[in-house]
Amino acid sequence: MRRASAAWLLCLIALSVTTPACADVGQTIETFTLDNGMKVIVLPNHRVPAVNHMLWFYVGAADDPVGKSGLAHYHEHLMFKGSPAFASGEYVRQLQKHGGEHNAFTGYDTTSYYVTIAKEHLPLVMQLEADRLRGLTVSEAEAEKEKDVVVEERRQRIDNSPAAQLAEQMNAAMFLNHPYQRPMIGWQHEMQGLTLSDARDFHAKYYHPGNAVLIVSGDITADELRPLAKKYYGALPAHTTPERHWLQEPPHLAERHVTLRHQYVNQPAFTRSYKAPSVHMSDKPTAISLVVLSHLLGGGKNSVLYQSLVVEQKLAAAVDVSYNFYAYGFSEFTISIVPEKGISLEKIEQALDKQLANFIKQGVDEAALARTKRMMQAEAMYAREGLTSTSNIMGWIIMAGMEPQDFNRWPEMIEAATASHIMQAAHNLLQPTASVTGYLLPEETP
Amino acid sequence: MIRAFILTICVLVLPWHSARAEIQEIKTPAGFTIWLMEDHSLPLIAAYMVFRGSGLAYDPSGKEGRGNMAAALLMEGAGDMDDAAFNAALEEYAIRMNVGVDDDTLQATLQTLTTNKSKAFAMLADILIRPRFDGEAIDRTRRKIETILHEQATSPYYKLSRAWQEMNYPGHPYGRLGLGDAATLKELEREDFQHYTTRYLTKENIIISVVGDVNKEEITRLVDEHFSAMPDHYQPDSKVVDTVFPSVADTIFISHDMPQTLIKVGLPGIARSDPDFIAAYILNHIIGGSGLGSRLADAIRIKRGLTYSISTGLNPKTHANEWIGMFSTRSGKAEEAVEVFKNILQEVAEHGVTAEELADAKSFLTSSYILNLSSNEEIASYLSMIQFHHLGMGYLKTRNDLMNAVALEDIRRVSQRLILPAHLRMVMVGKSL
Repeated sequence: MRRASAAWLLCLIALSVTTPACADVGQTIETFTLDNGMKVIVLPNHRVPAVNHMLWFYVGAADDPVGKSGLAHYHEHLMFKGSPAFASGEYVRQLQKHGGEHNAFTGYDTTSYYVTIAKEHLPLVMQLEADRLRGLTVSEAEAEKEKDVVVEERRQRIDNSPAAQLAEQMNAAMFLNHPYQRPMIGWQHEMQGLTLSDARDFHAKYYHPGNAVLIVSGDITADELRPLAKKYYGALPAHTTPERHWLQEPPHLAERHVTLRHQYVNQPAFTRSYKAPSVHMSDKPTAISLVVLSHLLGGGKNSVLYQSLVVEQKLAAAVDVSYNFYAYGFSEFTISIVPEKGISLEKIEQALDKQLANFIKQGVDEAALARTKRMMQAEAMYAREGLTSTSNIMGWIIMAGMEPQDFNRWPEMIEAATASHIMQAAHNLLQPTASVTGYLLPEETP
Repeated sequence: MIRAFILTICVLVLPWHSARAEIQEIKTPAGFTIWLMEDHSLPLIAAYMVFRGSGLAYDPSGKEGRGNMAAALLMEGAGDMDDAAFNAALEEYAIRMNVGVDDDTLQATLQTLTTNKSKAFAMLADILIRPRFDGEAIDRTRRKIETILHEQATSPYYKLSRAWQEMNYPGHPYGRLGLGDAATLKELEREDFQHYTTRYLTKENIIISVVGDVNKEEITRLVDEHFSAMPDHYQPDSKVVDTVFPSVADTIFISHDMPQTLIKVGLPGIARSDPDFIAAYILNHIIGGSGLGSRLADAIRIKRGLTYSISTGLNPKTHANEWIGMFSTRSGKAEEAVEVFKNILQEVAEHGVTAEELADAKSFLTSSYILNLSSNEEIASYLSMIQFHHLGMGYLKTRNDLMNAVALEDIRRVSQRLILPAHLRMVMVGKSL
């Protein structure tokens, strides 16, 4: 029951893509829709006699009611605590018995639940999943214990780690009004006030077939899946889900600097985040240009920032750039730098700004762009191998508002990102007023 | 002509679909042994190479950190390409290559598109046989490792694992800081890394597993053409002796001001080659290896809400065997959580597990077997594990039969042998118990 973490998002970017020069990825993609509105996507892959069943919901932490941050994630935990036909613990026990691996992820925009299992047990999985769409049957006492668990999860992920605390504070500084400003896992004081009745209301509001996309990859075809989907999910009543009316961001007028000092920070670290458009907030070419830009700037040892800050100037030990194209609201484009021992963050910041200004002035190195694209295009072919990677990537593509066939079009979308698109996207992105800079520092010595 | 010399010793049929039905053991003319599983459903190939006895524990005294730094340097230029040219070529040909090192081994992994296989295997051979160890790259890598050492010194997880090593392996290489320290790093020179690669990355101790869109003639040619210059003999500087995980209870508490207390516990484990390993594996699954369904998760997380994650596992290494558990709980609750942990162990030690638990565990472990063997890379890594532990080619097929053959008495015997709560060794890092 992990949250979608930064690593998770990075992993998707790394995985998303195909073969050199625009070859089709060649993944068979079949789709149909049930009468109650549930969309179904089938991704046949007959390498092993198993399937990955993934249910995605258009609801996430950004839909948490004001004052109840952490509710989407808490609700996700309670989904494992019993449903009308299955007592508490039965979901896990049934999957244990039948060799199913399972987990769930809560993000800002989406929540997903997956099971990977031998093909013959797919009907059982669909029965379990469909049943928990009918409601939460967890007892008050168990729900209270699970609240302790999610608070422990918060302590483990955030409160134990100065770097995670800084990331949370930077996030709150990035978004002035949008619900993305709150942590996905919730603020602790609000988490402690969550109730079972909050979770039940949340369920009744959002967990309906029409608000879900079912993705099944593996040893199956649409013809085989359709009768099962009709039997298990088709029996659920159609129900409307409220439209999203998230608070929107006002113009960003000021660069923000956030500093966190901590006694357990030995080695300072630098982070710069820019508010960035996603596919949903702009268009595919813009977002894909930013994906390519993130690789050009920080994807590996040939990237602009690694070459400049690590190799030539010897200021940094590591550079990382991350961006996800699939946020429903605004995304972030984040540059993280670990300075070499003894190098100040001010020096890193100056060197970064100078290098970014140079990049804007000089433009993209065409040879480097061609190389980067080749690697990125091949990633889609690599992603086709795994049982879960295809359904994962398909899920993000759909949640981003893209078409299922965009999975196969990834190489051509990458190819279409020309130097001028990328430079335009970079120019629009790298606005100081749309940025938050984070300093992670040791405690000041008196 | 070469093809005539290929000796395929064994062909094994697996429960996979026909596309990936066979494991072949190939002995090449140049003297390499390759395990190959062909799968032509996608134009991709994965290779996994492991070198026995080349891990961090094999660094001679005074040169701690050599293996780790050499491993990092392999990807910083090789053959006629300096670091920039090498990394540009990886991108150009969309080749994924990685080098990792642990206490016992160095591992090199490769993923390539079929069309670029020749280039990919040539580059893999370059890093293993002809690494450059250019001065600039050495200095940069040294500074990076120094930065990592500096950064981790205040991390609670680092404090936990250092204390664990020192407590359980005093005087043994497993108890040392594998990355080295400022003093040993400063002394390491180009010659040290060259010495390492020519003596530790050799034909004698290599294990090769290949999976994907390549046939036995092609892989034989690729390996012999590119790797035949690899040194023949493994010549380690020092021998690493076997040791035992202490079987006397001990607890170390390290003060670190944070909201949770991290807890690592352990007991002597069991060797991978032990006839009871499979029974111990199932037993571990029931106690703490199966996520939310385990006895420990049920007692500590679900019933009491004391932790978010708790898991246990067997850790069979070349020279010692551990059974370990990790969890964390809020300050003030560590004693209670540890008490519950011990009680669960006590129950298992006294009463074993139920027939139903055993049946469920066997069912899960046998049915989920294929789930993590769907990509070429996963299978190549698994084949390497089988080779590393000398389990034999038949293991792929018999593994589930071995699981199914485990009876309640086996579990009882193994519980009595391994699950000894009175011997529990423990490190805690936090503000208070």
